[in-house]
Amino acid sequence: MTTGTDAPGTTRRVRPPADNNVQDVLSAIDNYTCGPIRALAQDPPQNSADAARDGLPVHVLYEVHERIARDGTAIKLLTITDSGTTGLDGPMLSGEDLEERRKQQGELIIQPGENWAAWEAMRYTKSNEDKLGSRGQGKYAYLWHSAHPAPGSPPNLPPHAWRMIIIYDSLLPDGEYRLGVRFHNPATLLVDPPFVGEAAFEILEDGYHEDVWDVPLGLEPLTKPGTRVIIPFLREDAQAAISSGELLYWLTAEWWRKIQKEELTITVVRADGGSDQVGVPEYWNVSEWGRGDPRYLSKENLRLTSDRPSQRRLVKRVVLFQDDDLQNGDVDGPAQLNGVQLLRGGQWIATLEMSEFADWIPQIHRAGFRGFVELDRQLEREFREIENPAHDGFSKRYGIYRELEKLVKDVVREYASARGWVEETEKTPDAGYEDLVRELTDLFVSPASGGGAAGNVEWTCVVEPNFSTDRAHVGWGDSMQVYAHCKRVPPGERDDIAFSAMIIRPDGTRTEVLPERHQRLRTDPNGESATAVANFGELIVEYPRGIDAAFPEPGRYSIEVSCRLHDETVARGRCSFYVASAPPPPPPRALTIQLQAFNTRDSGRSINYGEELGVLVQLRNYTPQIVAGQLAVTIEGTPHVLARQDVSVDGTLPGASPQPFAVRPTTVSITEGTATKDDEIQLPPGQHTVIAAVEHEGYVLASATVEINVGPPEDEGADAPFEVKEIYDKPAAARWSLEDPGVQHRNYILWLSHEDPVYRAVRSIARPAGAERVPQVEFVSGVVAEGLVEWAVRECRQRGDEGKLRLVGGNLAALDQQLADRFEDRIERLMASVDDASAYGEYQREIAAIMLEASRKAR
Amino acid sequence: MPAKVWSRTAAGDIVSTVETRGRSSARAEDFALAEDLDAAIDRAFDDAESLRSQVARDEVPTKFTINWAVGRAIAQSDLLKHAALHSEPPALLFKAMAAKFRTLARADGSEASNWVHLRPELSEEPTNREGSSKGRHDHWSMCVWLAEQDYDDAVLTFGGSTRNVWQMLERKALNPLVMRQALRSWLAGLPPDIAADITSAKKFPELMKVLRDRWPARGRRPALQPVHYAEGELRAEIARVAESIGLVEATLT
Repeated sequence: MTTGTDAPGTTRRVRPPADNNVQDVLSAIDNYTCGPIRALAQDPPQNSADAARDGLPVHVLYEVHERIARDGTAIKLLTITDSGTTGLDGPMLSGEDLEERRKQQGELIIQPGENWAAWEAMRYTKSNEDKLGSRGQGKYAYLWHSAHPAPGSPPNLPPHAWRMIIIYDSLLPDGEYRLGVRFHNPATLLVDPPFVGEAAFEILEDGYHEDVWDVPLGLEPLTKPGTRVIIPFLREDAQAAISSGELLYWLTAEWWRKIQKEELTITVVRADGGSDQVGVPEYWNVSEWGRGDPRYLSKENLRLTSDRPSQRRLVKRVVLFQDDDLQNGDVDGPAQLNGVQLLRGGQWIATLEMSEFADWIPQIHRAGFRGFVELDRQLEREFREIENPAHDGFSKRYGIYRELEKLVKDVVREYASARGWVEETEKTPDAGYEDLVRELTDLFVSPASGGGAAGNVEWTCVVEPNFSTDRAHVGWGDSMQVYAHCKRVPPGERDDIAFSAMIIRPDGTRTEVLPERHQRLRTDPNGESATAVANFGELIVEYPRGIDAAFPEPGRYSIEVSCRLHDETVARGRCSFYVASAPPPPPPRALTIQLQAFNTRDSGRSINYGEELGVLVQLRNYTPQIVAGQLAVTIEGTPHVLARQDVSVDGTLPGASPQPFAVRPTTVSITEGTATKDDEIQLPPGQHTVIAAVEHEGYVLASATVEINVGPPEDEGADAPFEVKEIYDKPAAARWSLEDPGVQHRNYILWLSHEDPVYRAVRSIARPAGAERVPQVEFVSGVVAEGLVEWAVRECRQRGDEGKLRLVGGNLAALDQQLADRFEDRIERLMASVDDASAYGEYQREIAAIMLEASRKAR
Repeated sequence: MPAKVWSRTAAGDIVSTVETRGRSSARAEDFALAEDLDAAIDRAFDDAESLRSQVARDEVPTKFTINWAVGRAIAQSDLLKHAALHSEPPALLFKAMAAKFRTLARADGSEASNWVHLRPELSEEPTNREGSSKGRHDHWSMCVWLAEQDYDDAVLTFGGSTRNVWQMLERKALNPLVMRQALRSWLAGLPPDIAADITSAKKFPELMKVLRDRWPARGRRPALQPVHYAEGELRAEIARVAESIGLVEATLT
């Protein structure tokens, strides 16, 4: 062994490293979620594994020694020695060297191979490596365990005024021997320059007795390349953890997989001289992961949902095991072995707790449940990026984490099903958020096939009440005239139309007050349509004098008129007015657009080549003034213009529902090849966006978009309007919030607070007997329904696209007319109260409740 | 289908590989097509040199003229329709061209030193604008786009500034040829000193920004994009927008 020696005339001093003191160390280790003993089990082998040399197996030895200090005090040392590693090699950069480098580079960058400098420095970046956390934190795991009050300190000295010390020596593969000292008293200081060769051996033999320190060592120099860290004044809790076997437990939990793969061995020598080798839990000591044994389930090469050929995201292995004879041996704190361990590079990082699987694993089987997950190398790199600096958890706000969590849950559910703990007929208890959004979207937002937009004959009904004031408002005893117009395009025969009218009360109940009328269609002067006009006469709003009163209470009423031809309803129209109560002010947005684009054959949104695309645009003007502009309809990304015309939309009385101004552009046929006719357009297969907008002098008054699919239908449902993501670690976050699309993400995101107390509570509640869904799903459904309302209103407010709100209302009417009436009323009130947060929130919750009730009825 | 991608080894030797669909190929038919394409690129570059000398004007920056000539030569040569590029994105052609300009390698392996002044200044490592990817424009696609206008029109539209070309090209809504023609037409109607001011390095980006805001890509946006307008309508719209931010006085337009 080449020992080397100090240069002649070497003078040592102590220098402060970049920062940190006792308090930093205490705070950092206190932030380890499982406490300082896990830190002691985790960081030393991790440092050693990172320094593995040429694929050699790494051995780590924890050994407790008893020594007597010069003042006669008995102290315990813990040495942690590795072999099979490179040792702390590289140049021994002085404080000046490091400072000069920091100045030149703007930050301190440590190059690969500069391991001594990396060990002694703090807060630096490693060149060519990921920036994982705050570099240097690993040293704290050693220092923490030597914290003690200096001799002669007053009693009750707070820990931040204590002192700490570690001594480290390293034998390099080329024979060079180094020894360094780092202490915190309470500020941090390093001995500079380090001791080399014979000077290091003297310290090891005699101890370190400089300045205020009296540290007996009496250790032999290392004989194999590697590093030893000496922790003098070993704290009592660490001594207890070593003698009781707790350290052994943490080392097993942390490193069993790496040990199993023979990449690492760990030995613990206790103060009494007894030693233990860290091993592998018995249940994982099986061949082929227990294939054929019903207690085991292993699945390999599973793909995360975001896995793509260009971005592989593969889970190498998920293995589960359960045995009722196995006890839950976890110590207090976050789960360790009881649950599904997430491993990275053979190291345990975090555990998915049993509460995550409460829907499938019955209480009586949970204690004996074990599992682990290993990732493909590429996915491991991504997970390393989201690992916290303490290496004891992943940031849960990233999509890949949630994807992994869902994948593991799916495997656990499969396991539970195989063990007979979950009934096969049961619906998925924990439907993914995407499924919940999809369910409500399909119910309320997908265009209903076979609706009135398609077809060659267009019927419309407009109800026109005449009020005596300039508002849609009547007082008790007042009257109003009610007319209804039924129009057919093209004109056709002079058919007889039957008009019947219903009054819809504020509570959604209906009554027939106005007598039925019959009128013949007459061709309009333009020759393009035919109209029948019914005069229902005078409607008197009588003060309520009995339980059968038509107008039992103040509030918003509607008149719905149905037009029937040969006993078949061809059109419906409605108007609203307020009885003895003030109508809400008009919503802030003057003009809105409702856009429908559909296959004329079936009203669906998929169009095959040779079929026709139909478009219906309905404009609504919420203000009393006329609004004029130019309407255009195009297909985005193409030169096709489906409509371009000047429009003028009449105003609406306050309190009345605006009557839609309809524009139906000429239908066009979709071709795959070059278009040869004026009414043909060529579109490639796939999704396309139809956009309609009204502009006035370069200002967009309102715009709306609808997706169509050209070619074979892949999915007739609407695209989910938003993605649901959970927001973690923000206890003060709102229960949910909707984030607008932006540059980073093109869709809305509904953020659901993971820490919300109600959500936390429902997550732990199992499905009540007879309930169709677990409480967690019901909770998220409610949030998604409120989010859908918010999304539809926001589309209307920000862009003037009323189509989303109308779709929700229209689809609701198909499910339950009475609920739809209430919905319509609440929507109008919601639209009118967008600047009144209190009223807006109330209506939004009420609308969501209506949707959920309709959803339950639909199921 | 394939293209030949040239490179220089550490020893300075010029070597090539045939690439198709993002992978190298060793199939004989791929080699034949790739070599044909490679020779066609040579001819286009040689044509570019000839075009440049035909159109060059002293008052127009040489770089702008070269870019236009290269773009027009590529368009005239029908390289983009070459059989080798069937089912391949145009990016492959631009990647192959970038590699040829970097190595100055002709199809026969000789060095085309006369191409040196046709290429942009080279950085040590290829930049994002040297060979397009992920649908983004690179130097060569910019040249092709620039040359969609005739030379004099392009000079007027951009004031002879390649920087202005990028300003407009990188705003997708403003890419259609009709927009450039409308801009040219509007600028032609302005007094020359005003037109020169608008195409200056300071004003031109302002105009592009406000035109992009007129036709935003997200949120509440118009259905009609520039591609849907006639040139005269767009010219009037450009004038209105330019007036609205005080770029020109109303009386001038």
